[in-house]
Amino acid sequence: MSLSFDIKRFGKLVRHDVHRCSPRFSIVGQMLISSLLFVPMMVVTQSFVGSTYGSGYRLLLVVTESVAMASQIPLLLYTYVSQKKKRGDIYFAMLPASKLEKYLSIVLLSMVLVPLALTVANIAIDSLLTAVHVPLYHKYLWQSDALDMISLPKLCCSALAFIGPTFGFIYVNAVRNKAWRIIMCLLLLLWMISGMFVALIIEVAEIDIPLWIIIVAEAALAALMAFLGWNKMNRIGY
Amino acid sequence: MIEIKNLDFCYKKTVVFSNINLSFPQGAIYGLLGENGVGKTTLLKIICGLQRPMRGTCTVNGMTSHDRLPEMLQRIVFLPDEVTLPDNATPQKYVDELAPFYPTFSQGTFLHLMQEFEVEAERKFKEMSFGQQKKSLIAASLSLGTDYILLDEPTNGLDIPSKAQFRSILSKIADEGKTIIISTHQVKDVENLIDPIVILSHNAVLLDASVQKITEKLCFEYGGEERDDALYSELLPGGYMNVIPNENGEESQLNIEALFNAVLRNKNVIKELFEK
Repeated sequence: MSLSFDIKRFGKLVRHDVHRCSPRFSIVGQMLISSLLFVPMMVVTQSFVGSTYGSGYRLLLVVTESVAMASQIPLLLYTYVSQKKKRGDIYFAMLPASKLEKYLSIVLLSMVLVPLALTVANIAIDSLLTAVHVPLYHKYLWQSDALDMISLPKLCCSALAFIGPTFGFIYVNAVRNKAWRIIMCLLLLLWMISGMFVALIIEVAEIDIPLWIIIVAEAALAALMAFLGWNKMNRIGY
Repeated sequence: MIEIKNLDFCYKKTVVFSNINLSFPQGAIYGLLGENGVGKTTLLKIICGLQRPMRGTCTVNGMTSHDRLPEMLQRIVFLPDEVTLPDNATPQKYVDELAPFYPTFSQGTFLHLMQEFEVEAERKFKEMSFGQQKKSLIAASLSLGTDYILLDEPTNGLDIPSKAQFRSILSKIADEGKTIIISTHQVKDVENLIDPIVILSHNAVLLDASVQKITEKLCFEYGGEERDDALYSELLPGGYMNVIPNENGEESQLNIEALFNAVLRNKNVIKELFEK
């Protein structure tokens, strides 16, 4: 296994990946535009049914939606890692960078750069709507009372519900069996949604399992997914 | 130098290579020939680390190829028969993305080769014919300046003038001390270019010899009668072309197609002849 790591080469690789993926960012861009409409739409819908949840509700929607979209990044941007489309798609494998650098570049783009960009864009839109005094947008997201309810364990639980499935999606991206890919995608989405949901409602719903057990279980699963992804990336045949 | 030692490879239950040994010293254009499905492309993939052998080793400059170390990948370029090209990219953008990873890349060489092939560097791949895409990729691959250049069916899709340009470009590059391995069915396209010649058969290497050694061992006779002692005979306009063991040390012009057929039909005889 090639574990060599050179920071300069890694920088080049990340720049390369962003550039190489840029045509695919239009797909992400389209999703982003539709998703940016999603939050205001939900807020308006709630107002019609007679209950508004204010900035806390918007915060929940923004975070859930950003994370749900970001987790799909490995599948959206790195389709050329494996040979799903055509024969001879060996470009990524033959790029002069170590396997570790290639894996970390995918992780960085999928788990940090794109999610951050999505969250910032979502918050910016929400802030803009608040700044121009759109009805139902009374407070900025960072002024939300809901922020007081966030605790470190809950944050860990939510973060793992994003990190674990995203590692899983990196693994799934290199899997060729279609049935296995679909099953894995559904399971990973289920994990992500339920993990985030549990972190939110654990106090309200009187769930008997302590949060730390859920965190440990998620961490173990995330480590397994990270290993599977790394192993698959190393052993993928061309 | 590329070295393959005691290599076994199989796809599920299909054995492709069984205990093969080959070496490719630097500074030559190797022709990799063989029937369909004997593993020519697989061998190229093993050399550049895209396939892992079941047993044995394949090293490039002493580095195990399937480790795909950056130091090895910087020295080797593989141009497959079919390539997935990025959407909306131009050849110039394509090399711009690759160039930072190859310290030996030369923009001047790239533009010169594109000019020789008469393809515009700023034209989108999707607006090009298959042949133009192929020429662009050949130009991009050769301009990276790697020590080892692996080409799988490089003349597929090239028109007749482009094939001549291709041969002339490769000859110049080989003179610079680069190692080029060409896997092809189109032997006529690379005749007078490849030397040494490697012929693969199912599971094994049938022949691995320089053109000089081949013509020392075999004689290619044109225009005569069909000979009884010929390893291979073919009727051509003007008479038969016979491939016979060269017992009298006669000089003759190598015909790769005839050689290929002679080798395939007389595996054991050829083996004995070249082991002498």
